[in-house]
Amino acid sequence: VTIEPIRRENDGAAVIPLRPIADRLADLEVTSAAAVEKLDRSYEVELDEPVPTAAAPVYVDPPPARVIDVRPIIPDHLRGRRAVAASAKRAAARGGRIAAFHAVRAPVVYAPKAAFWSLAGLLKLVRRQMAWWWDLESFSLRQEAANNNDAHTYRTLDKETRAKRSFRGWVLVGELVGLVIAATVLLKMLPAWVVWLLVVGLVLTLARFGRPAGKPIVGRAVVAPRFRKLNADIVLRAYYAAGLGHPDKPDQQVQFGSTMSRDAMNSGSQVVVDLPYGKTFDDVVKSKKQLASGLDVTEYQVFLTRDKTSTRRHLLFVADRDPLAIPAGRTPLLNCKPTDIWKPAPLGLDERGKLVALALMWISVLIGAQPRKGKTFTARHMALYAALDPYVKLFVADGKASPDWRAFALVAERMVFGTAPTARDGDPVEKLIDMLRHIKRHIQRVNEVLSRLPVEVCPEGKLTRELARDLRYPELRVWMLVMEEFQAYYELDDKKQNEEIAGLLSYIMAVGPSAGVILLSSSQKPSGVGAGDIQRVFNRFRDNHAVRFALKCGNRNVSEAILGTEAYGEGIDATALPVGPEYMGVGYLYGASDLTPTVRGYLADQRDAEKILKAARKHREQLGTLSGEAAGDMTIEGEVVDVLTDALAVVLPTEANVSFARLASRLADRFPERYGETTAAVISAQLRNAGARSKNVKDRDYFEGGVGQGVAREQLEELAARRAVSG
Amino acid sequence: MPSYVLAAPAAGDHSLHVTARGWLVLAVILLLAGLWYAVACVFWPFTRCWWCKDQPRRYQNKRRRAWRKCWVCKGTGERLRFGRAVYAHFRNKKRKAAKR
Repeated sequence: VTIEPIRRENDGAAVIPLRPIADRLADLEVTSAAAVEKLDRSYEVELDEPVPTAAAPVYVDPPPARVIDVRPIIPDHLRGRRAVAASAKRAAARGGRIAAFHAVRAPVVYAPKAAFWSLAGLLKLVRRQMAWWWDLESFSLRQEAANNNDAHTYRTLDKETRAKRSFRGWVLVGELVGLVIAATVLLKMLPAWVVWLLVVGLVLTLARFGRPAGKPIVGRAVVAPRFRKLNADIVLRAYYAAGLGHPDKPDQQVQFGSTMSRDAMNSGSQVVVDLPYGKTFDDVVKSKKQLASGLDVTEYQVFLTRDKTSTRRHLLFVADRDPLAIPAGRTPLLNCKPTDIWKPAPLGLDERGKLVALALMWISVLIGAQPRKGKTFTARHMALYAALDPYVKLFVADGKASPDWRAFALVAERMVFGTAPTARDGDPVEKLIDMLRHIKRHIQRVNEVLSRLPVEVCPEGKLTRELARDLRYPELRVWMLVMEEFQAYYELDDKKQNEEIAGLLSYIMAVGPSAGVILLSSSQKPSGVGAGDIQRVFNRFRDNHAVRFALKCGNRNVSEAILGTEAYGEGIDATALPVGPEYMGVGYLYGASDLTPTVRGYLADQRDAEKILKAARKHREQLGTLSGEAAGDMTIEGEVVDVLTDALAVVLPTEANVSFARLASRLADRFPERYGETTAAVISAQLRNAGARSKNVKDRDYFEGGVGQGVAREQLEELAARRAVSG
Repeated sequence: MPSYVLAAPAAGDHSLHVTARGWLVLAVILLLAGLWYAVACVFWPFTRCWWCKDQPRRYQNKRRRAWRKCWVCKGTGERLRFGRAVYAHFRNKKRKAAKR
C-alpha cells in the first residue's frame, strides 16, 4: 500500500491520512453514544478540516481494540418479560436451595456450634471487661518504666491506674446491677416466646462474638469458583519468561492490542497481544508450555488464536478452569429425532465450549487412541448420527467383536464381527470380503447411474442430497462403512484374504467418498501392521483418511500415524493430551478445517446407543428404508436372502405355529444352497431381527418336553404384508 | 524445732542435724519465696530505698547548708528491686544488640 501524504494549503506540512471514523467504529463493534462521543473528542479527529470519508491507507493508527469493556445499560438477563421471569425463577431456585441446605443443617450442626461458641463468647466478653477494669493496657507502660528504672514515671502511671480501676470497678458494678434488674423485669413482663426470641438472639450474638474469625458457624451452601485473574504484568512476565521478547530492549517489547477483559461466556480472561517485530504466531504456539508456566496455569487453560491482520498479533485467552476436564455431556442425539447426513454431525465441544460438528459427507474419518480412551465411543457416536438418518445404509465391521456395535443390528445393512468363525455369524472374514465387494459394486453402480443421469437432474455429475433421497433412485443412497479395529483384517493368517481386503478397502477409500460412501475407521494400532506389500497398503489406506481424530496416544509414533507427520510439525501431538478419567473422550480433530480443535466428545453409552438405534429403526420402518440384515434379510455370496419370504414358503397353511427347529429343517430341505448349514438358533435370530416375536409352540418331534420356541404363522404373514406396504 | 525437721541430737552432741524431709521443706520454702520475689519483681518492681528510708533529701553537706539527693534512689525514695534490675539489665542489653 502506498501512502500519499496530504499537503495542507496553509503551512504545507505533511499530514498523515487518518482512518475514517466509520472504519474505526466498525472495528470497535460498538455503536453506543458514549463510544461515539469518546471518539469525537479524540485527538485523531481533525478540527480544522473535515475527516476524509474515502477509505484511506492505514499508517500510524494504533491497533483496533476488538475487546470493548462496555457494559450494557440493562443486563441481558433482565431484558424482556421472559428473561425477567427466567431470572426470577433461577434466583428463586437458588434461594430455595440455599434455604433447604441450611434448614437441614440448623438443628444438627448449627445449634450445637452456636451453643458452644456463645459460651466462648460469654467468657470472651467477661475477660474483656475484666481487662478493661484492670486497665491492662497500662501494664506494658509500667513495665517499660520499671525496665528503664524510671521510678517517677512508674509512680505516675501506677497512680493513674489505681484511679481508673476504682472508677471502672464502679461502672461494672452498675452494669451488673442494671443487667440483673433488666433481666428480672423482662422475664416478668414479656411473654415467653419473646423471652425465648431474645435468648436466641443473645446466644447468636454471643456465638458470633465468640467464634474465631475464620470459622463461620453457618457454612456456605454455594461455593463461588475461584480463578486467577490476569493482569498486564502477569501476561508480560509470561511472554518474557517464554523468551518471546525482552523487557529492557525497546524493539523487543511485547505490547497489547486491547485491554484485558473477560470473554463473553465469563469463562476466562483475554487480551490481544502484539509480539515484537520478527516474532511469529508459530513462535508463541511452540512456547505455549513456557507461556502457561509464566501465567501460572496449566497449558490446557491457554488458548492462542491467530489474528488475520498480522502474524505477530494473536488473541491470548486464559480459561479460569481446565476446560477439557469439564465433560461435554450426553449426546444431543438422545432426542432421537431424524438427522441429515448432509448436515454436520455434532461431535462434542471444543476448549471454549463451542459446538464442534463434522460434515461426514465426502470424507473418510480415522479415529485412533490407546484402549479405553473413548475411541469406540467417538466412532459409535458418528455412526449413531448416520443411523438416525433413515436414508443412510450402514455397514459395520468390528475387528475386535466387542458388544459395542452389536446394537447396530437394529439398523445395519450388514454386520461382521471379529475374525474367527462362529456358529452364530459364520466366517466373518468371508462375510467381510463379500461386504466389501458389495460396496465396491455399489460404488461402480453409483458412478454409472450418475453418469447416465441428465444434467437437469444431476447438474454437476455428483451425488446430491435430493438424489440420495429420491425414491426413483434407491441405489443412490448414502452408505457408511464402519471399520472398527480395521488393523485386525490386515493381520489374517491367510495372505490372499489379507491382500483382497487391503485392495478392496483401498478402492473404497479412494473412490467411495465421491460416490457417497463414508468410511469411518478406528484403530488402537495404526502402525506396524503386516509386512511388505500388506504394510505398504495398510499405511496408504491409513494415511489417505481425510479427517483424523486422535485421542490420548501412548507415544509419538502412534500420534503421528493417526494425525500424520505434518500435524506434529504444527505442534499437535496426541501424546500431550491430559491423562485421567475426566479426560476420556478428549482428542484433536485434525483435517476437518483449518483449525484443529481439542474436542470433548459427547457421551453416548451402550444404553444411550440402544435407545437411539431403536428410534433410528422406527424412523426407517416408517419410511420403509429398513433393509438388509436389520430387516431380516440374509446375504449369501452377494445374494440377498429374504428369510421372511422363505419361511412363509415352508410353513403350511394349516399350521398356526411352527417351531424354529422344524422351520430350520424345512428350509434346509427346500433351499439347501441357502440354508444347508443353518440351525434353529440362526433362524430364530434372523426372524426376530425381522420383527417376529418368538413364542412357545408344541412340537413333539423336535423337543423332548413337547414344547419349544417357535413363531406364529399369522405374525410372519403380518410382517410380510407390512413390509410390502412400506416397500 | 519440730522433730521432722531437726533430728534429735545424740547425747553430748551439740551440732544441728537436719533430716531429708527438713531439706525438702526448706527447698519448698525457698522456692515459694523465690516465686513471691519474682511476682513482686513483675507487679511491684519498685520498693522503698534501703539507704534513705524514704527520706531522699536528708543528707546535708558538711556545712549543713544544702541538701542533696539520695545517691541510691536519686531522690525518688524508691529503688528497683535487685531481681528486676538484673532482668532489666540483660533485657536492655539484648535490645541494644538487636537494634545494631
